[in-house]
Amino acid sequence: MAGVRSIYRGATAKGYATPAGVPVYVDSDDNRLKMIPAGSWTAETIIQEASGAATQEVLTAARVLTAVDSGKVFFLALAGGFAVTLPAIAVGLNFKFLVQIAPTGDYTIVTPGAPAQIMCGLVHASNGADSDSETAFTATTVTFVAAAGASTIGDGCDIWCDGTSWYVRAYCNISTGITITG
Amino acid sequence: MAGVRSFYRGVTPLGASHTAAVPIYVDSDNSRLKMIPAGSGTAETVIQEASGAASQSILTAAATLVAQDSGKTFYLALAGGFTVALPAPAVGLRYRFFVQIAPTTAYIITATNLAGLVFSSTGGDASSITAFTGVDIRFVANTALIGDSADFWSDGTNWYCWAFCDADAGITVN
Repeated sequence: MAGVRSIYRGATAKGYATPAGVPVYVDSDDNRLKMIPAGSWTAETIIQEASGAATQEVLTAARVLTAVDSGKVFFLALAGGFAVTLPAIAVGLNFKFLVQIAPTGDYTIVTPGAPAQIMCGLVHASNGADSDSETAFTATTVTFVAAAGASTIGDGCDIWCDGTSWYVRAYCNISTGITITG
Repeated sequence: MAGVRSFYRGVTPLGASHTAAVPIYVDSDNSRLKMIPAGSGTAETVIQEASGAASQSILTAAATLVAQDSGKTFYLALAGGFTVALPAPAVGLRYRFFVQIAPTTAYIITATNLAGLVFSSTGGDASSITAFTGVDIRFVANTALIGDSADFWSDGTNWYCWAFCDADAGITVN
C-alpha cells in the first residue's frame, strides 16, 4: 500500500496519545477531523471542519475562551452586551469577533487575569476619522462601545498572540465605535 | 479496514517523501502535526499547531521566506530593523507581519509585482500603490509603532498587501 487510505470514523478516538502514537479520527457526531496530539483523552485539536470552513460561534452571553477556541470567529449577539475573556497567552492563539447585534451595553474583550496589561492595538474607522490606538503593551480591554451611534453591526476585531502579548486590529464604522484601553 | 487510528509520533518522521507517499507525523518535541510534501525530509510544513492555533515565528534578523512559511504570522522584533524577502508569487501564498519592537531602522518586506493599501488609525491620507508595480513595503523608522501590521496574499502572479498603522506615515508602499 502506497500510504494511508482512510481515517477511522466514530464518536470518540480509538485510544489515547502515547509517546509514539497520536489518535486521529473523524468525529461521527460532527464530521470534524480531530487529533489528540499529546496527553490524555480530552485535549482534542480540530484539524479540519466538516464543511472546510473555519469554526465559528454565535455568543449571546459572557464567555471565557480557551486555547481550543483559537481560530474561531465569534459573532457578538446580545444587545445588552457582555464580556469575553481571552485565554492564558500562548503562541499562535488567534480570534475574530464581529458585531451581529449592535450593543446597548458594551461588548468587552478582556485579557485573562486583568489588569494584566499585555495588549496593544489599532482601531481603523470607516468614516476616516482619528480612532483609538494603544502602541505599547499597556492595554487590557477591547470595548465595542454602546453609546448611541457608536459600535454597530459589522464592527469587528482580530486578535493574535505571539506567546507574550496580544495584538489587536479593530475595524468600525464610526471612529468612537471601538476602544482599546488599559 | 476500519481506517487509520493514529499518527506516528516522534522526533522526526519515518523516512522521506517520494513520488507516491508523504510522511505525516506529530512531532513529539512540540506536538505539532507536520508533513514533508516533497523532497529530502527537511522541508517540513506545519499542518496544525498543537493548540489548534495558526503557526507563527518571531523574527530578529533578515529572512527569506519560502512557500512552506505560507500562513504564518511573523513578529518583527529588532529595533535596528531588517529585510524580509517574500518568495515569488504563487497561488495561495499568504503572510502576516506585526511590529513587536518599534524600529529605529526600517523593517522592509520585499515582493515583486506588489500592489498595496495602507490604512492609518489616525484617519489621514496614507500610502498606496494601485497597480502591480511595487517592490516593497516599509515599516518606517521612528514612525512605525508596536501593533502596526501588514497582510500579503498572492494570486499566483502578483502580491496584494493591506497594511495597518497608527501614524499616517508609519508604513509606506514603494
